[in-house]
Amino acid sequence: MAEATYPAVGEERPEGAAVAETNVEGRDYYVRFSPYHRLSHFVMMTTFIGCALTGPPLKYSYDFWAQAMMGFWGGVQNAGLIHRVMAGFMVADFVVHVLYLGYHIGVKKAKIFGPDSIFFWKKDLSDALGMVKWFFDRGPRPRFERFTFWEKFDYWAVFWGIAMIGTSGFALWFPTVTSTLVSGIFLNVARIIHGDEAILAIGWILFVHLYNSHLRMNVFPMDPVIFTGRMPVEHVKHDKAAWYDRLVREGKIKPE
Amino acid sequence: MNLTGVGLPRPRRRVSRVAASAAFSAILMLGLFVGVASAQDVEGCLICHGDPNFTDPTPPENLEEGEDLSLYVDAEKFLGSVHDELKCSDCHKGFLLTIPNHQIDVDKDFRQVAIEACEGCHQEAFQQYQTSEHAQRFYEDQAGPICISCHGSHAIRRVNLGEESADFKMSMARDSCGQCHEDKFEQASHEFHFKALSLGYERAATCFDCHGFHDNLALTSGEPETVEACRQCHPGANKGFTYFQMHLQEGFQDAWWGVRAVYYLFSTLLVVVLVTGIAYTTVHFQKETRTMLGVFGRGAGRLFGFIRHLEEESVKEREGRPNGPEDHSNDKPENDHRGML
Repeated sequence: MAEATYPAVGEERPEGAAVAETNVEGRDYYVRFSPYHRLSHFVMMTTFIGCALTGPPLKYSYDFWAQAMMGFWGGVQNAGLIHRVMAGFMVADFVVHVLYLGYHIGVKKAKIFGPDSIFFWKKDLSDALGMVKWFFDRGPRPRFERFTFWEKFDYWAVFWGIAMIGTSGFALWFPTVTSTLVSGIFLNVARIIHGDEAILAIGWILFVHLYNSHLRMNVFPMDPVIFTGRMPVEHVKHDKAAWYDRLVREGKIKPE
Repeated sequence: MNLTGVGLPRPRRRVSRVAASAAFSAILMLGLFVGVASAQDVEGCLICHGDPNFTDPTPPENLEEGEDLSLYVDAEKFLGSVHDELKCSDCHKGFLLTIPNHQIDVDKDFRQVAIEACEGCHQEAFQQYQTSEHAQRFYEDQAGPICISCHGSHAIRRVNLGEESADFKMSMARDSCGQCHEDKFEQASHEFHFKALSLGYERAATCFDCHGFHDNLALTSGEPETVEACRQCHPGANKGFTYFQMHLQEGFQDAWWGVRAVYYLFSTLLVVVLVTGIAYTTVHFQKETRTMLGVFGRGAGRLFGFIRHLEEESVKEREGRPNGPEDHSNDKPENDHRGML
């Protein structure tokens, strides 16, 4: 095992040095998300909330709460403006992220399938089966790598969601442009896709993502890792054992 | 002259806002003065017709026994209508200074009389009506609607030329067009125009913004008049644009197969993904909670184990003993992986 030095918090970190940090209380942290990752998530989160609060009152316009919600935004026109501005930032975030992926895969030759990758690979299948076994007390909790399969699913769900909702949203935003490219009936299709995918996204965030990052017993009331970028090493060890082993092997964190 | 504004203008022929509001204020002022005069009931009709119990003693044949034809006119409603400056006989032609049953042309159908009464002032609207399918069906077998079928009679509302509120547009769609075209109204309610309208966005189109209000076009995809109708609000609309369907059933049963396919695909995706995600998450939650609290057991016993555990915890807390004798963490067998997180 390679010996590594661990700079104190706030100390300049030399290139290639270990990335673990120790806070004033002596708790070890591993910097899991780069500033770009955190910013990207922040933009995604705020724009998603913006869209999710301005869109549904139009879809459910005949429900009692829709009128009040539209009143809060100051009418359909204002809500529509907010919705479009938010959507613009969200799509910009998405485009920047695709460029980021392209840079890492194309220029920096990052491996598409590997322990550090967000792409699904064969281990995710065995991990999923392992989780089901663990749920019913038929085996140990799988030893996860950097990204668990449900984290990957969350990520690709956003990818798919933005592609679907974004495309259909732009089609509805500029209907006369759409109709020069395809028949007007695709505006009906776009409305179906936009609404259904939006409900799916909102439902997923409310019932799955918020549970994972807020309600689980070991993170309640909130897992701040996506905002601070820092994950306690003990959490790394318990949540993602295979990754922990690898980080120790690579000398990036002190073994507990 | 069309002072009343009842002949609702099509949006592409809008009078400028200044002129419209000037005309509106003029009508209001005029209405105030003449309304007072009308209220005095110069012809004396309301002496009888102002009585809510005033009915026709010789009811027409199409009415059932005991269901007398009411001849009551609500003076309040009439004075609130756009025609408040008119005398009764301005529309009820031939009644002037005669007793009611001695109408000049008693054999004429009352609907024809009514149409002619409106035509007297609203020639332009009448000409448009003549070209419509409504008129065609009326002249064929009197099945089609006439002016009063949509506008009502004594309580015709005042229209602020081209400045109608969203509420007005929505209620016209529901109470006039929607009375006969129930399915079309219901279907249009699922599309953005009506949704925005019902939320108070007055620029969104209602029935007559596309179909016209007196010529009442039956718009078909791909037809030049349909393109023209769309272009009033969407200047760049082309022929392909008109293949957007405003009137589809809620479940898209009557739609193009592509629409149905996408609808079924995405609805299924929505249900499957959400149900799977929520189920997985729920099981994950209970397993993790059980594990962290160190509660074991099988089947329903897990629940009781969990409750017992909480009781023990609270007892421990009260007695100040951090590790009670019933602590499970030490008697766990080596190969028991159920407690691993």
